[in-house]
Amino acid sequence: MKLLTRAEELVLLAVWRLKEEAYCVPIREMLMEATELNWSFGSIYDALDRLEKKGYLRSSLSDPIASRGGRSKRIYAHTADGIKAMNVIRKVQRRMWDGIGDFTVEKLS
Amino acid sequence: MNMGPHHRPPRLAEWLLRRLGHIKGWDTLADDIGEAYNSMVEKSKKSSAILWYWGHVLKTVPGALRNTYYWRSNMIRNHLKIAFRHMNKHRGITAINLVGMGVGLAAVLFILFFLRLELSFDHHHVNADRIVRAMKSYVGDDDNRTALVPPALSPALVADFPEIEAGVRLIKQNDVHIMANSKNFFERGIVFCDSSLFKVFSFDFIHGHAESVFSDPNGIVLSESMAYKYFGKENPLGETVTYKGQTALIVTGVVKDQPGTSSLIPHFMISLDMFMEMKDWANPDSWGASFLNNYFLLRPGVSLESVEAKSESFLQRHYESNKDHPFNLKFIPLKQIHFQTRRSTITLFGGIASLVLIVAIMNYINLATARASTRSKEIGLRKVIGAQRKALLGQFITESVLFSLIAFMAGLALVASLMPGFNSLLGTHLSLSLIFDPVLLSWLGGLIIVVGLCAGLYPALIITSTKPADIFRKQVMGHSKSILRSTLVVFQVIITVVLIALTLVIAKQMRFINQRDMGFEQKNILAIDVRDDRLQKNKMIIRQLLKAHPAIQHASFASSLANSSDYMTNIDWPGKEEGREQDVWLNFVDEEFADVFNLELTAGRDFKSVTSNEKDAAFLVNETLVRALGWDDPVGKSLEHFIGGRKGTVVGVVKDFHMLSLQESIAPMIMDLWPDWDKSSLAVALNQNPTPELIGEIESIIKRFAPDYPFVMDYFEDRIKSSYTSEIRMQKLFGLFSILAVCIAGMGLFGLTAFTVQRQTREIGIRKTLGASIMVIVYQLSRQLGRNVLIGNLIAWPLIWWLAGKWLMRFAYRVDVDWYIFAGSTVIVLLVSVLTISAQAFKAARANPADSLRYE
Repeated sequence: MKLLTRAEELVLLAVWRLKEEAYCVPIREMLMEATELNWSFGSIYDALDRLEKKGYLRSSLSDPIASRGGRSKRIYAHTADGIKAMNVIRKVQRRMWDGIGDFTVEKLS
Repeated sequence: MNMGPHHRPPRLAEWLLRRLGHIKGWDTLADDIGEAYNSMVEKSKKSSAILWYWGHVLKTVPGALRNTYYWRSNMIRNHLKIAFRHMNKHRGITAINLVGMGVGLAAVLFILFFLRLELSFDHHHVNADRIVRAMKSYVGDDDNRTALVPPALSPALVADFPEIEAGVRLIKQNDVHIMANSKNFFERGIVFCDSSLFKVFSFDFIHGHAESVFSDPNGIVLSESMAYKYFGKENPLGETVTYKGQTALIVTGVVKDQPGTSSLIPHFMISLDMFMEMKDWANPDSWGASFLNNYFLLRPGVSLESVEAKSESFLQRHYESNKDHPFNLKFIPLKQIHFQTRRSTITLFGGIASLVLIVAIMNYINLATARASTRSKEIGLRKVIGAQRKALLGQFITESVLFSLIAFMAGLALVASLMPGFNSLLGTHLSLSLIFDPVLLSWLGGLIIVVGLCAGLYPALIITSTKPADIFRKQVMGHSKSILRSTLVVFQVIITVVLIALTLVIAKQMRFINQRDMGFEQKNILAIDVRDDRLQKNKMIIRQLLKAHPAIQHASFASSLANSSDYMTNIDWPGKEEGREQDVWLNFVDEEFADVFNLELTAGRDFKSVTSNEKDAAFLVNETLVRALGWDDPVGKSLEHFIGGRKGTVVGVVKDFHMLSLQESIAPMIMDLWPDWDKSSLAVALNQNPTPELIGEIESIIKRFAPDYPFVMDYFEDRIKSSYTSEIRMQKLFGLFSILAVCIAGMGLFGLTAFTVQRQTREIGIRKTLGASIMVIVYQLSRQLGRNVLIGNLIAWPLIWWLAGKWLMRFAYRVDVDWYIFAGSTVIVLLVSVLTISAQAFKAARANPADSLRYE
C-alpha cells in the first residue's frame, strides 16, 4: 500500500469515528478540534476525493434533509481496503513510536 | 419538522459556490458550507459569518478557474497554433477562402447594418411601446389598408375607450413655401396636428411649453434646425412665419430635432384647427372624408387586440345612419410601421448578399474536404495518441470559426472603407458607429459562429471519420469524386448564372425604358414650381413674357407634367350604360401643353385653336379613352368628370403617351383646359441647351411677380429618370453582386483544379511517359469540374426564366427574356471556369514528366 498523506490519514480516521454522521461538516469540525488548526472545506473535499479514488472510502447521498433546504448530505464510509489501510497506518505509527520514551526530556538533557 | 435552513447565505456567493462545486463534482459542497455558516450565525455575529462565507468562496475561485479554463484553453491554444500553421502552409487556398468569405461577409454585414438601422426606427420615443397607428381597412377587403381616417374618429375613440390615454391626428405636407425673417424656402415636414402630438410622442422643448403652443390656433412650433435656419441663434418665440405666402403664424415653441431614425420628422408643427380653418372642405366633425393620420397612446398594459375587439361595436355606434359601417378599424404598433415598408427591400438585398456568402462558404467546404488527405497524418497521430472524435471535431470547428473571425475582420475593414459608396448606391445613411450597438454586436457574433459552423462542420466530420490504421496504410483520402463536392460546385454555378442572368435582364429592361418612345418630348424642357397665388393670377402674362425670349419656344402651366398624373376620377357621358364605371386620369393644362411636350394630335383640334367662348369647357382626350368608350367620332362629344364637376366637349384626340411610369399601362386620360384651376408646374420648352444665363433670365421673369417665392427648377429629363431610382439601384446592386459571385466561384474552381493537379502530378507524369497527349491530360483533369459547371447551367435556366418573369411582371411594358440572356450568362460562367481550370491543367500537362517522377 502506498502511504497516505497526513490529511488523508486524519480524514480517514475521522470518518471511522463519525460512522453514520461522516460527512464534510462534522469531519471538518472534528479535525479543527483535534488539530487546533483551521481546515478549509476544500482541503477536506480534496482528501475525501482522493481517498475515494484510491478505494478506501465510498460515499452515498443521504435522504433529503429539511434543515438543509431539502438537499442531501454525502455520507462517507470505509471500504474493506479502507479498513486495511487503517490497520497499516496504525501498524506503521506503532512501529515508529515504539521505543521512543519521554522524548522531550531526553532531548533537553 | 419541515423547516428550511434558518439563515440563508448571501445569494451571489452561494450561487458562485454551487457553480464552482459543480465544476469539481462536489455536489454537496455548497450545502455543507451553508450548514457551517448556519451554525456560525447562531454562535457568533451574522456579519462575521457572511465575511467568512465570502472568504471561503473567493478562496476557491482561482483554483477552480485554473482547472476549468486554463487547461481547456491550453487545448484551444494548441488548435489555434495548428490552424495558423496550416493557413501559413497553404497560403494560396487560404487567400482564396479569405477573400471570398471576407467579401461575402462584407455584403451580409452591410445588410445587417441596414436591417439594424431600420429596426431601430421610432424606438427613441419614451412611450414607443404603447403608441399605435390607426389603420382603416375596407369591409371584405382586409388587405387593402390605409392609414388615413376621418377627423371625428380620434376624439370619439379617446372618449369611448378608457384603454386609450391620448390620441393625435396629423396631416403632413411637403414642398411648401415658408417665409420667415425675409428668407424664403420650400420646406418639407410641415405637420398640422393636435397639441397632443407632444404628449404621445417624445419632443424636447427648447423654448415654449407643450401645453400652450396651440392655445392660439395660429401658433407654430419649429424644429431646432429650422429655427436656426431662419432666425439664427436668436430666440424665435413671437416671430412670424408665413405659410404658403398667405397665412401668418406666430412661433410659440422650438423643439429638438427628431433623430434620423424617426419615421415622423416634423420641422413645422401647426395646429390642426388652423388646417380646418384654411381648407373649407375640411370639417373637424366629419366621419366621411379620410385624410388624417391618427396615432394613439394606449394605457400601460393594454393589448392591441382588446382595443381592436371593441372597435367593431364602436364603429357601429358612430355610423348609426348606415347600419353597416364602411370600414374596419385596425391598429399597428409604432415600432412596426417603418419596418413594414422596408421589408421587401431588406429581404431582397439580404437574399442576394447571403447568396454571395453561401458561394464563399461552399468554397471553404470544397477546399477543406479536398485537402482532407493533407491533414490525414495529423489526425491519425492525434487519434493514436488518444484524441476522441469529439475533441478532433472541436479542433476543426475551432479552426473554421477562427477563419470566419479573420474573414469577418477583413469584411469589416471592407465595410468601413466602402461605406460611403454603399450609402450612395442604396440611398441609405449607415455609419460604422452602429457597430457599438449591443444588438448588432450580438448578431455579428452569431454570424461569425454560424458561418464558422456552416463552413467547418461537414469537413470536420469527413476528416475525422477515417480510421487511423487506414491513414497510415497510405490510402489516399479525399477522393476527387466526392458527391458533395460536385453538388456544391453545381450549386455555386447555379447561383452565379442566375445572378448574372438577372443582371442582364434588369439591364435590358432599363435600356428598354430609357430608349422607349414615351410619346412626348423629353429634351430641353425645364420644370419650374409655381404654387403661388401671385404667379397663378398672372399665368397669361408670364407665358407671354417667357415666349418673348428667343430661346424659349413654348411655355405651359399644368397640374402635372407629361410623365405623371396626380388626379384620378370617374366620368359620365351621354349614353353611359347603367352601372358602368370608367376611371380616368386628369391633367389640368393650358393652351400650349401639347406644344411643349410635342404631343401628336390624331383627331380634332389643339387647345391653341379653341375659341375664347369654348375655353371654359374644352377637353383633349387620349386614344385609350376613345377606345374605352367605343367612340367612332370623338370630336364634339360631351363628357363630365367629377373633380370640380366639370362638363365639357372633346375638341381633339392626342396619340397615346406614357403619362404614368412604364410600370403601368397607358390609362384613359383627359386634359382639361380650365384656366381657373391652380397649376403647380410651369414647363418651358427651349430650342437650345439650357445655359445659366437663360435660366437666370427665366428666374428674373418669375421673380418679377413673386419676388420672395423660391425659384426651384428641374430638368424634365432628370424628373423622368428619378422615377426609376429603385430599379437603377437594383441594377447596380445585382451587377455588383453577380460580379462578386463570379469571382468567388471562379476562385473556388481555381483552388479545386489546383488541388486536383497537385494530387495527380505523378499520374500525369506516368501517363505522359506512356504517350498521352497534352489534350488528353487536360481533358482528364477538367472533365469532372466541366461536367458540374454544365449541369449547374442546365438547372439554372428554368430558374432564370421564372425569376426574371416574376420581376418583369411589375412593368406594364417589358422586354422578353431572350435566349441570349441564358446564353450570355452561361457563356460568362463557362468562360471563367474554362479559363481557371484549363490554365492549370495545361500547365500540369505540359510539365516534363521527368520532374514529377524524379522523386519517388
